[in-house]
Amino acid sequence: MTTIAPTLQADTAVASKSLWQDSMSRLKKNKAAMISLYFIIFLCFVSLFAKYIAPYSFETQNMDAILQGPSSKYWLGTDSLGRDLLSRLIYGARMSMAVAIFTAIISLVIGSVFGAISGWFGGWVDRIMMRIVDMLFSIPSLVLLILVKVIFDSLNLFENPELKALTSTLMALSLTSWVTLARVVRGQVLQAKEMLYVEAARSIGAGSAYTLWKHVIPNIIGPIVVLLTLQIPGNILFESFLAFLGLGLQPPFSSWGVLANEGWSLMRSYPHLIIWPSVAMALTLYAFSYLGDGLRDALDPKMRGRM
Amino acid sequence: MFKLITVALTSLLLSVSCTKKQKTEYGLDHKETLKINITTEPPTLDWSKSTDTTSALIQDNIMEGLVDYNFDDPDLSLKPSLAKEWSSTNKEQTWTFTLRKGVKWTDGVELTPQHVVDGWERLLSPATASEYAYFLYGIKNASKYNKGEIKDFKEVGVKINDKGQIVVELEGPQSYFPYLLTHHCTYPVRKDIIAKHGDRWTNPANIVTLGAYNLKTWEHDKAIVLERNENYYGEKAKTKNILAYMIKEASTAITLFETGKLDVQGNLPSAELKALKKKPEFKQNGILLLYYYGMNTTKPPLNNVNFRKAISHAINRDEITTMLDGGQKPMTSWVPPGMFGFEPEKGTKFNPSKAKEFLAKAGYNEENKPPKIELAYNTNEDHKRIAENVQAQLKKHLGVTVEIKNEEWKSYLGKLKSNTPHIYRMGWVADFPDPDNFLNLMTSYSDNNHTNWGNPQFDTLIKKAVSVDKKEERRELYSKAQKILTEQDVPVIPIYSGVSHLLINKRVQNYPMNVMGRRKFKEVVLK
Repeated sequence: MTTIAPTLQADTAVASKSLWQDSMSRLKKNKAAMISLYFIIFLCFVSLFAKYIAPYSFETQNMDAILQGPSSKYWLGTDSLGRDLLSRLIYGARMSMAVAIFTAIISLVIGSVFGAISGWFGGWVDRIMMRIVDMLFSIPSLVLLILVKVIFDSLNLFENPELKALTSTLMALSLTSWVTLARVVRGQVLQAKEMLYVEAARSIGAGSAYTLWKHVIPNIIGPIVVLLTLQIPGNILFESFLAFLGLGLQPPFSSWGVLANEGWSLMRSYPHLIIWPSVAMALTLYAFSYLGDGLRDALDPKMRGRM
Repeated sequence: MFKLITVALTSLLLSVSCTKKQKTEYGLDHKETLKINITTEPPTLDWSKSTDTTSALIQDNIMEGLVDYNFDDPDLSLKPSLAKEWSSTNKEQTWTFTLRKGVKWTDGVELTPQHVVDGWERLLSPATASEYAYFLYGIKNASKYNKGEIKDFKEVGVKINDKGQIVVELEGPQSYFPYLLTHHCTYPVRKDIIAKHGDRWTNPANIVTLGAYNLKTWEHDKAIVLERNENYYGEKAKTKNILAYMIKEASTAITLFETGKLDVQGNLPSAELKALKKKPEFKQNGILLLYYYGMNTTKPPLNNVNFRKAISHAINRDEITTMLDGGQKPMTSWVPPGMFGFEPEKGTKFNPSKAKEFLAKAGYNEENKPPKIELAYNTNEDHKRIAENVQAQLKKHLGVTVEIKNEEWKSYLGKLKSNTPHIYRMGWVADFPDPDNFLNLMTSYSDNNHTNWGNPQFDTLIKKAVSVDKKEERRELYSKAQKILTEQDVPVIPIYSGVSHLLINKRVQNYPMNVMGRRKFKEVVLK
């Protein structure tokens, strides 16, 4: 009998691991996801301290060094106005990372509150709220994006051009991306509210808000986080796409989309101008996708390979 | 031996496949077709109405004027075209033109002096509303007729005498009057054809012309095909067909050039010049073009002349031409080099300390920072490049923040007419090689002056200069006018005078390159 006790103790120790600890240990075993995570942290660091890391300013023009290839002075070469490409790439990361993080937060908040209320209360509340979602869904997202962006730009909320471009892009992207999240959250809540643990909570007198917050949300957080990380690359791409069309940051400011636009027209003679922004963007998109995959496997092992 | 036979056979096969006729699009023979790129759809082929260089290129090849430029002469003298000879009497105030006999339109009708007069009547008629009507304002009563003050064209100073000569009576002496007749807006027209087809008279099926080429096909937004006019009165065109594509993207066009699908490509992006210059096919020639920035003189803070001077003093034109690296000449004065009246020493030159002084005079300093200003250009890689450089320069030398805006050509022009931004980009190519063509642009009554600036003193000088026949005296007057424009009032910032860059396939010979940017293809030979 004495031999059984340690095993029991070990069992309780495993059981006391929280959802997050458990998931993190699984995530740590996934090499691709971990490398991606470090890469994203690195990018965030670079974006935050661009001013100190970049060898030059993003707007300093050097007429003696126009369209140069990589050299010891300019590691990635210079553009058609003699500006350092590496510095512009570093400053450009700020826009992409800001879009990635803030759209995620905004669509998480709006999407999950909207979806949870809709799914939890059901009935006519659900019907009205879901029709709103359907309406937003039916508008082609690119048209909606451009429209919202143009309206926000014309409002002139901020003096700072970078802040101005960022807010209008964020507004446009958040408006289109929370919709998908709201649908998923609603579906998950519909499923979860039939569960016994919800019934148990209700039977001991827990209110709607309490039950949702304490019992439902923690149980459906997996799919939400996964969807979010998978949405981020799309949003980064959309931001670059808008900038590429000339709807993003205005010169002399830099974002990866702006750089791609500048590089694209000179692709024939100076391929380095399009290659480096493309590589940076591709790596970031891969990183977010792998991290998303890794998080899905870690948070909900049952779902492995299903989403 | 066997080896020798195979070599002989292969070379035979190769030569056979080479001699096989290569066809291009529209079923044209590659060897007899010059393939060019005109970049955009010509807005109209109606030569009384068009105002752009794309339309002019097609019109110059299908039509002719009374006189033409002799581009072999560096002084740009004139040579006979539809007019056999011309002379002036009464101190260059009356001009007489004798038409060539036996010139036939493509429908077989012979050219008469009345067709020429019809063309001028149509140009001046208020109903046509041509932006080039002012070209003939030198003719007696022409401006009154154009403004509707005179209803009868008979009162305008154009007559056909008994000998069938065209006699033009001017308001005052105008030495360069014949030069105006090289321009497409003064070409003869067929009123009967226009009356018959209305707005559709420029369709290939309806149009009647008399130039070295005929308009054969016009596929909108894609290509125009010109075919040799076999009944042309002069020496016939040496190349049978001209295939003019409309390819907007320079990079696409350059790739097509490299694969031999285009024989000529102009509009080379400045950033690629360095690489393209190394090609043997690269050619460049000077052109009477001025690239400038105009300022809206009614929009604060640019309504303050000191602020305008500060801006002009703060722009280093040398830096821009170094960046473009295509042989352009930095400019601070208004009349481009290659024309009399060119005075490079005039204008507000780059001087950062002077710029700061003027900024202070305008009432701005460290505490009272100058407001943000807008700089607009029509969408184009090179315009963007220059705008971004100017933006950086103004920030560096003056601390002025500039916001750059761009729009497509058509909406850009609309914006200039309705609500001119603080600073706008514009270029001007000479219509005729006389300083009047450049300085007239900035008169208070010019449709092309978007600065809202007008100076009666300047207007008087320009009006007076036209009627003076002594060259030295005219130079003097233009010198004064340029001083007002570029030193005293400064509504404009000249940037550089132009050079055109081209890629020309080796098989093309005698491709027309001249300071006016005129392209007549009848002398082009394909090897």
